[in-house]
Amino acid sequence: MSDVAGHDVVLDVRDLSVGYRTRGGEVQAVRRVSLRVHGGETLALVGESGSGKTSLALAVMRYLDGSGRVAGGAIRFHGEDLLAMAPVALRKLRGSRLAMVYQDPQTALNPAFPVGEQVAEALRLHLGLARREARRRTVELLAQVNLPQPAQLYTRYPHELSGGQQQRIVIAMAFACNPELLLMDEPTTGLDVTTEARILDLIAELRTRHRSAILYITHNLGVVARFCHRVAVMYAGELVEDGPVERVFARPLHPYTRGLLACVPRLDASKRGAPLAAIGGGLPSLITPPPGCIFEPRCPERAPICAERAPAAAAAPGGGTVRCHRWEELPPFRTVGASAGTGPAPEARAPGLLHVEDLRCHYLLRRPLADVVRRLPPRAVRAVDDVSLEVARAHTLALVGESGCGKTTLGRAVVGLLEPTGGRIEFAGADAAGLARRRPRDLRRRIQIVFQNPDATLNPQRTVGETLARPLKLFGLATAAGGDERVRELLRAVHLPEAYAARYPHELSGGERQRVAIARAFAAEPELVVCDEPLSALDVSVQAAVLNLLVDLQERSAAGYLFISHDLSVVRYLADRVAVMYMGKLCEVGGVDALFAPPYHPYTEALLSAIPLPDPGSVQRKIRLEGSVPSPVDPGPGCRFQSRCPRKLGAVCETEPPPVREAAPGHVIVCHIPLEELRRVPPVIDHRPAATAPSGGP
Amino acid sequence: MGLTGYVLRRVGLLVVTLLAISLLISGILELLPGDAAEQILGAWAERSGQTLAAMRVRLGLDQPWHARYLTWLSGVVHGDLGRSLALNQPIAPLLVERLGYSLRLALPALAIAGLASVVLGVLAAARPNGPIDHAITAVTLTGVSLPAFVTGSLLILVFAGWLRWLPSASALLQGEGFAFWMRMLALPIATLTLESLAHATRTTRSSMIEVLKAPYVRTAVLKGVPRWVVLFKHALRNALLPTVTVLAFNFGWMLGGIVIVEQVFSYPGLGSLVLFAIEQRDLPLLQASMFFVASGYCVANLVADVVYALLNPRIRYA
Amino acid sequence: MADAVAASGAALPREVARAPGRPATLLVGGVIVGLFVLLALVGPWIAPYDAEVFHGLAKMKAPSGTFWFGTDRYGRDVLSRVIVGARTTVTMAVAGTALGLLAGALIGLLSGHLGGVVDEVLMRLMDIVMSFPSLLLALLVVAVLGGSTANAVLSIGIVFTPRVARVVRSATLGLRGAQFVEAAVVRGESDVYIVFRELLPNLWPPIIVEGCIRLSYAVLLSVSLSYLGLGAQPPTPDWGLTVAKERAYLVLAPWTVLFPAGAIVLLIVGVNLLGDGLREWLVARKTVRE
Repeated sequence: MSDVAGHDVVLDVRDLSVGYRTRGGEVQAVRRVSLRVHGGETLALVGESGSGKTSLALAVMRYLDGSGRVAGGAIRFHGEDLLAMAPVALRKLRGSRLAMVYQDPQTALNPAFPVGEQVAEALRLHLGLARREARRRTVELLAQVNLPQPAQLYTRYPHELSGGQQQRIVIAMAFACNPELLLMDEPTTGLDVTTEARILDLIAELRTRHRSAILYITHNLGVVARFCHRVAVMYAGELVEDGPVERVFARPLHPYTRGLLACVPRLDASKRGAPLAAIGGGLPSLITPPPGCIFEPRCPERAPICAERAPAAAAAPGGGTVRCHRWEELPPFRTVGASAGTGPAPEARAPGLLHVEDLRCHYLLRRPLADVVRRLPPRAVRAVDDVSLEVARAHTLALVGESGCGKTTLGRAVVGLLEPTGGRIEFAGADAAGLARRRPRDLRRRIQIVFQNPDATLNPQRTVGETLARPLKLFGLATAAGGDERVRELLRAVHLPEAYAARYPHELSGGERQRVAIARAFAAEPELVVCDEPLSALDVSVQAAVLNLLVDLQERSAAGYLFISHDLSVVRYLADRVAVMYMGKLCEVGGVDALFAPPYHPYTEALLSAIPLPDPGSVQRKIRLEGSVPSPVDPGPGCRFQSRCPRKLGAVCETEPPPVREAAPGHVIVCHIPLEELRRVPPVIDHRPAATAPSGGP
Repeated sequence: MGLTGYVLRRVGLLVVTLLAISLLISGILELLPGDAAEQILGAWAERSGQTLAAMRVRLGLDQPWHARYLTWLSGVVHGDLGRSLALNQPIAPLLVERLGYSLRLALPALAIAGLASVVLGVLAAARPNGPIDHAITAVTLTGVSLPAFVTGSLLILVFAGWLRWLPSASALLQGEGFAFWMRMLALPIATLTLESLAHATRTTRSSMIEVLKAPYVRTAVLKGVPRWVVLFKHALRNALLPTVTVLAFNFGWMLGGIVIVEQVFSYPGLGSLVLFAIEQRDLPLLQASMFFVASGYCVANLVADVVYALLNPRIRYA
Repeated sequence: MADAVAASGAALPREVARAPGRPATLLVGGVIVGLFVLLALVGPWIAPYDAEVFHGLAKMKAPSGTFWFGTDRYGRDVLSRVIVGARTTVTMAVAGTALGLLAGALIGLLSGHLGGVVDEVLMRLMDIVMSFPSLLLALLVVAVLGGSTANAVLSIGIVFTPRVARVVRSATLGLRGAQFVEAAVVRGESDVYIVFRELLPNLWPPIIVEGCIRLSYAVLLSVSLSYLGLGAQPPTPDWGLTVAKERAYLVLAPWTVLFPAGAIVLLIVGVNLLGDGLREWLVARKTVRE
């Protein structure tokens, strides 16, 4: 990370408090937070849900909704008081010197206007450019953000662009007038990993060119490590620690920061080592916050003084501040054991439980009128194309890929939510293809699923107990009397209090609902559980706890997992074997250790190089994929990845389907490139051991 | 290709729908209970001095239902909508004439209601729960709660009864000139307008409020766009979409309301013709006028759909 | 549970996002509607006079101490007629709405859940019925069957069915993608179970809200039909009918028209307030339940 030269303070937030009026009282979303952003630097504002980070950003932009208000403190932008500024002056400031980039680009762009117009509007408004000049400049800007064919793209509408392209438009709009400060609210959440990497590169390039300061809001510690100079950690409305990124990651001082860093799975840790350190408990009430330290109820290091008095900010060695009574007494921080306890890789597998052979799931598209007239056959979306894989008892096969690769479709086919177009699905020797309704009852019991979204996964009109009792009743697993006891057992198994049986889903937090969903899946005593991105919608600290739960349950029940995910760090931790999919086909399958080391399939290599790692000390090779995922409609005969592959050999990749080659027993790569060449590729990630005292800069 | 294809599909759907409607109307009329049919037939036979049998042939009742329907349908295609029993004249020219009168009420009402509802809806939504919003909400709530005949009666009471500015009935349609027509039409148009205005304003207001919550509005504000530009350019453009749909729906409601309004003001339009047909049990007239009005509604919906597609880039540039 | 999430879209912490609406709307609406339902039930017994009795010496009298709402041209007490008239309007409106809700909800549920051909066919049918303006269709039905209270109820039910079906269908479709429904499918639950035990309990809010909207239109429709002479038949003191009959005396004896008209307006206002209030209350409950 280059040294930050600017010393001028662009944004100065002092003792800011933000509250929202509700019927129950005032929710104090932000309490006396102070931070500063200097010219040219990027400050990360990190926190989970409920931390108040978004409220803070909205307060800076003076865009708090009706019931929100700034309850105290000051916000200064280059010395000017933002809170006292007149609306006219504020308007001139916004979009020109102070700009914002949003989380969901699809909804941030107006669907009724061409994208070029929306960027040009900012130019005309603030720089007073005439129409033609503004258009010319906009096309330049679009080229700057690496959008293809910028002149034609000018007149397109948002819905015609991909997610990555839309975000580039939003970024172009933000940088259009050379802002001094940018507020970015999770701009890459929701984008694919490879797209995210390119957007981050773009922002880095633009911030250097425009010398902008950035307040970057995120919950993703990997992005913070890669991209930001300083970091401020918020918890439940308060700033608990801040400082230079290297210092905070190497020597976190506040127990919450330490907890956060400890519960993110590293790319060098696996479940065979120690369980992830999770942070127990939940957020305190923000209407009546406790008198002492806000983190005290959940803090593993708490002492009596912590409940009595709120800690003051202390200067931290190495830069920044920390607010904790006991920070000086805590032992040095160690990351969860890198490769600690690497037990025997489970290559010697138990007999396969689930066999998927040459599975196909194709959808036919509705033919446009022109095609019907010309008697052309309907085009097919080949969501899953000739995929074969196996899951063994008590083992986890992770299915990895980005959006549109077909992993979710495959999972749904296995579970019986859709019918495959071809191929076989076999479970414990019996044919299992087809809709769940038509499968024998016993088979239905033995294959279960855990979904992604905890908000929709439970029937809001049923209590937890009723939800858990249903599979018991349906599959005849418990008598009426025994059922209650079994429900209590299930709740205990997922670490929820027995009293929850009488509660409704809306009374539970997201993480708790996901646990109930897991309990529901295990109530049927399954042998195979398909997990469809079960962690994606959860906070980092909650993810760790649920991940530990999944590991625990697998050990106890010997169930196999088909774990679908796009998050390679989680996969590294949890999986025994990994299968990488791209556009409906498999690229690489192998044991988890083998997959994360060379030889790689070029796509796996690109994926690994794109993940932001929460470790500023590690070195990661940089491989970026151009363009976006092509449409899976009628793909060509050759390799699916060839249009973006940085290692493309030539015409053979387009015309011939790539061969399946075995790099080692149990490790298969599907690529034209000879294995010897792939073996010579250096590893993508080089982990330095987590040092306690880094020797200076990166 | 997106837009043209869309319009073509819509027109095709329209034709099918019109066929289905005509079938439905015919079907319903067939449901006339047997003895009632006999009664009607007998009454008409008497009035026109023909035998029952001749009456039967004239109405095509000697043929099976589908033949009757097809004859009627082919007549429609050729522009012949049959003959009215009660008035003993061809129906088609009668309908067209009455249509002209009704349009003189409906079109101004639609135009005023459409424009005013957009303005009022935007004003109300600009500051929800503010004083202007409360006032507009109260007025529109009353507006939707007043049936057309109540509004009409009240207007007659005030303007014709007490103030004596305007006539209460348009039955005596003698006179020429714009001023004459204005006096004749003012109250009926006002009645029709008020009812539609209330509905349309409520919809515009709520769709505007929804739109103002949208993230792209936030983007515009945080880009430094002035408040009124945000309202009238960024937000309204998207809020217009449901408004177009609501105006089409309103037109339909107006087609019903016009029956009442013409009854209240004794106005010789399409609506009173329908009522007349019902009272007189003039089956051919009833069938033709119902079909005519329903078709008008379908065409209006088609126009609304096309306008919607024009305004919505997602459909236009699919 | 204080799960204060500042969602970027709505810019508000979750627990704050729906500060509950003023319960006044619900209350006032409920009171008004309740009053009219009460009148419908016990009207004839609490009216000061018999609604049909002619008071020969007191024809066309303005409101006074003896006759609070005045008398009409036959000397009948307007107040009593208004009170007794509540019965027909309320009954017609409620019955028509109930009919429409029942048929519409059934069709909407089936269509939304089963999908495919069934959905296509049902929805095309509904579209055709909906391509008639409401009053016109009601008129058509009544024209064929003859004017009466029962036929008015039937026509209202027919007019409402497709509109209710659309709303229920789209709510069902929205739920169909919900993961708890998919979990039930994975368990292999039967269609009947899914529709009645998983979907229906979550559909009450939109059905209730739609029901209230329909009720206000039902009152409008039944009153309009009666005005045209095609709903309630004389000598019932139905409000719409009365306004039609007394029209000629609008200027001479406005109270004969204004009081029944006022009752109509008050009832519709009450139903609208009730509907608005219910919608706010249900939305607030539902969002908090997230």
